[in-house]
Amino acid sequence: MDLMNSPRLARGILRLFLPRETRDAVTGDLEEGFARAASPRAWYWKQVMRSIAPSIGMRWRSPGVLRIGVAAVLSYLVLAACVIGLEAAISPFVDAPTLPYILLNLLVGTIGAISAGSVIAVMVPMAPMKAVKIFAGFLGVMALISFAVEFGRAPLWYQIVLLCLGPSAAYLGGRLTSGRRIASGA
Amino acid sequence: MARPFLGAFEQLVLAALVRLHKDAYGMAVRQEIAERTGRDIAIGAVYATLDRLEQKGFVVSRTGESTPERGGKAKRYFDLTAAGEQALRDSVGQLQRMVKGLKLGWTS
Repeated sequence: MDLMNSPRLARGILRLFLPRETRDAVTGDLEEGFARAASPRAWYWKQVMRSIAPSIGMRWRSPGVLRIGVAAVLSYLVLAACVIGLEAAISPFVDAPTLPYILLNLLVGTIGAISAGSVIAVMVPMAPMKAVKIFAGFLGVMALISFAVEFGRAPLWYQIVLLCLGPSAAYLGGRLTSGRRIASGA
Repeated sequence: MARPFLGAFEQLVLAALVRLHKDAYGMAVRQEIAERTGRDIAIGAVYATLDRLEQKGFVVSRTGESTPERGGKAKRYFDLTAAGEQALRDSVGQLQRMVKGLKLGWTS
């Protein structure tokens, strides 16, 4: 039975969920099974439906878009929580945008970025530095957007420091965490 | 470092790899398990387990031949590593020690 007879829709659905490196092997195996099955189309569809959940599990375990994307979002929330938490904590005591406020903002932002880099290294243990570099790049892009939006409204030195410090701090956090995990054998 | 343990299905998959020797690929493993245990396993579950075992260092994979029957898609073969063989041996040994001396009908 040739490829054209197996359900294309089912095959397409499964290929969406499978990691790239496994797609050909799995779909090739399904073609073999399709050729031998008593009720081929029903068998094929049943195999596809039952394989979706394990396929998502495989994707989650690989350092791909799904895992890194979720880790990056969670890490960014950690960073945002640090910065928002600071502003809530210090605003009654320090006037914005005075120099002490800006310096405290940079300090907490740095601590937040180090924490976020650490979180992403923990969440993507199979390729921590790949994920950290992608996240640091993302922070750099966010800092550039902030630079463009806030141009003239915030001190230039602050914008430049933020552009350099955020991604570097995230990289440092990831590096420290992945180095510690390697040393402990985790 | 603590020795990693095998799940029940991981044991079945590794045992299938031992039986299939150099011919162990996804569909063959699935069939071997189905014939010997009566379990109807999804092909995705087989590959997910093999993927997990490869990450643990218990199996290694290699690309095989493609055939017209497979729509031109290459097979992916899996071979047991020394660590995988040891893990399976340990796992079987644990189960044997656990059930040693037990009689059938112990719950009645």
